[in-house]
Amino acid sequence: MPNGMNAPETTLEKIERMDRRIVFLAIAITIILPLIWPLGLPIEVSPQVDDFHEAIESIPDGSVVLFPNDYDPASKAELYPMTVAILHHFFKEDRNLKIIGLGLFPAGPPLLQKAFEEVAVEQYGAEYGKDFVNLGYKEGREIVMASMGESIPKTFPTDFFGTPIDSLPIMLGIKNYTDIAILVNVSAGYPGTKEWVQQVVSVFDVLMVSGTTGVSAPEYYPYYNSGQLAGMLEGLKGAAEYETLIEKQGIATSGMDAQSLGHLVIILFIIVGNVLFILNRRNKTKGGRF
Amino acid sequence: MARRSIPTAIAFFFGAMMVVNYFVPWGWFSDRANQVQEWGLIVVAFAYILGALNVMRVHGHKIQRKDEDWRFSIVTIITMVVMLGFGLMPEQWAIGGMERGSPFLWMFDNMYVPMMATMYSLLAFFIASAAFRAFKVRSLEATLLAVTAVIVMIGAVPLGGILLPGSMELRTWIMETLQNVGKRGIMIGVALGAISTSLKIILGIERPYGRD
Repeated sequence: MPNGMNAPETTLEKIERMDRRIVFLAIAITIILPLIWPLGLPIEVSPQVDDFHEAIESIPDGSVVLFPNDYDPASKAELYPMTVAILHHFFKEDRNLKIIGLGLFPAGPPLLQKAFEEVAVEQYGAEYGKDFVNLGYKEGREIVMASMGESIPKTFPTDFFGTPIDSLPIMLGIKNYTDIAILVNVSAGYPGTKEWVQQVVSVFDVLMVSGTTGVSAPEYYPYYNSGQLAGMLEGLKGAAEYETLIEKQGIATSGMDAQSLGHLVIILFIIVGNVLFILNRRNKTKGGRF
Repeated sequence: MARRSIPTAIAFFFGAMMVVNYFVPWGWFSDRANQVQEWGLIVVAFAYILGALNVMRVHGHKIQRKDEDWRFSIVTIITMVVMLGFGLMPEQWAIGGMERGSPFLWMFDNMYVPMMATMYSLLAFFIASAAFRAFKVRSLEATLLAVTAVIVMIGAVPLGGILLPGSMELRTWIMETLQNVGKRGIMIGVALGAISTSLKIILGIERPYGRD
C-alpha cells in the first residue's frame, strides 16, 4: 500500500467502532422492560444492611432519631427509595420514635418533606411537630454539624416552613447530641456521611448508620469496618435489601430487576469490546482481512 | 507589615482555639469556641448573598456583551429570580410558602427534580458506551481492573447470585478487604496532608486569606 493511504476498515473494526446510539438503545431496552414486566429476582440481604436494621431495632422505644437526608434530586433514584424504606421502619411498629429530619444539601429538605408526607402522614397517621419534624436546610456544612453539638435549637431556630422550633412539641427537651439515640444519615457525598462521622461520631460518640449512593459507598467501608458506622445501605441495592428485611417491598425492589439487567448488559459490552479488541489485534499482527 | 501580621494573628488565634477546644472542651473556653462556630454560620450565610450577586454580575456582563450562548444567561437569571422570589415569599401570601401546592414546591417537583434526575440518569448510558470502548485488556493491570470491575458489578445485583454463584461473597470480600486497604491508605495520607496544610495556615506559613 502506498505511503499516506490508510488501509480500508475491516468488519471487526467497524463493529468495534459501532455507533454509540446502539449501546444507548440496548441499555434503554434492558432498563425499561423489567420496569414494565418485573422479573421478581430474589434479593439476598448483605451483613451491612442487617447491621443497619439491627442498630435501629436496638434503640429504646420513644427515642429521638436524627435523620439528615443529605442529597438532592440528582441522587433521588437511588436514595429516595432508601429514605422511604427507613421511614417505614421508623413508623411501622408504633415504637413512638421521634424523628428529626434535616438536610445539608440545599435541595434535600423538600424531598424529605415529600417522603414524610407520603409515608409518615399518609400511611401511619403521624403528626408533624409531634412525631416528626423537618428542620430544613442550613448552609455551613461541618460547622452546622459541630454547632448542633452545642445546641440544635440554636443552630436551627426555625423549621423547613419557618415555624419557630420551640413551638413544636417534638423539640421540647432536645438540646444537643446527648438527646439523640441514633443518627441515621442518607448521603450523596459532601457534606454527608464522612463529615458526620468526623464531626459527630468521633467527638460526641453518637451511634450512627448510613445509606449512601452506590458510587460513594467504597469511601465509607473503612468507617463501617472500624465500627464508626454501625450499619450501611449501599445504593439502590441496599434500599431493596432493606425493603426485604422490613417486609415492605417498594420502588427499590422493583428497580433492582432493571439494575440487574443493566449491569449484565454493561458486562456483556465489556466482554464483546474485549473480544473484538483481541481479534483485531491478532488480525493486524497476522495481516488478516476479516 | 500590619497588613500581613494582623490576618496571620487572627488566623492563628481562631485556628489554635478550635484545635485546643477539641482536646480540652472546658466550660468558658468551649463557650467561646461555640460562639466562633456561630459566627462561622453567619459568615457562610453572607457568602450565599455574595454568590448570588456574583452570578447576576457574571451573566449580566455576558448578556451585555452578547458573548457566546448569552441567551442561556437570560434563562439563568430569570429562573434564579423566579425561584428566589417565590422561595422568599411569606407563607401568609397566597402564592408564598413551602407547603405542598405552593408555586415554589410545584416548580421544584415538576421542573427541578426531573431535570436533575435526567442529567444523572444519563450516566448509565455513557458508562455503558465508555465501558465498551475503553475497558480494554491492554496490559496485566488493565486485565486485573476489568476482571475486578466485572465481579463487583455482577455481585452487586440479585442476578449475579444466579448467574455466578458466590459472586456476592466475592464482591463483599473485594470491597471489605482489597478496596478497604487502598482506601484507608489514601484516607490516612489525605488526613496527614490536611493536618499539615492546616498547621501551615495557622502558623502563617501559607496564607490563602491574604495577598503577598
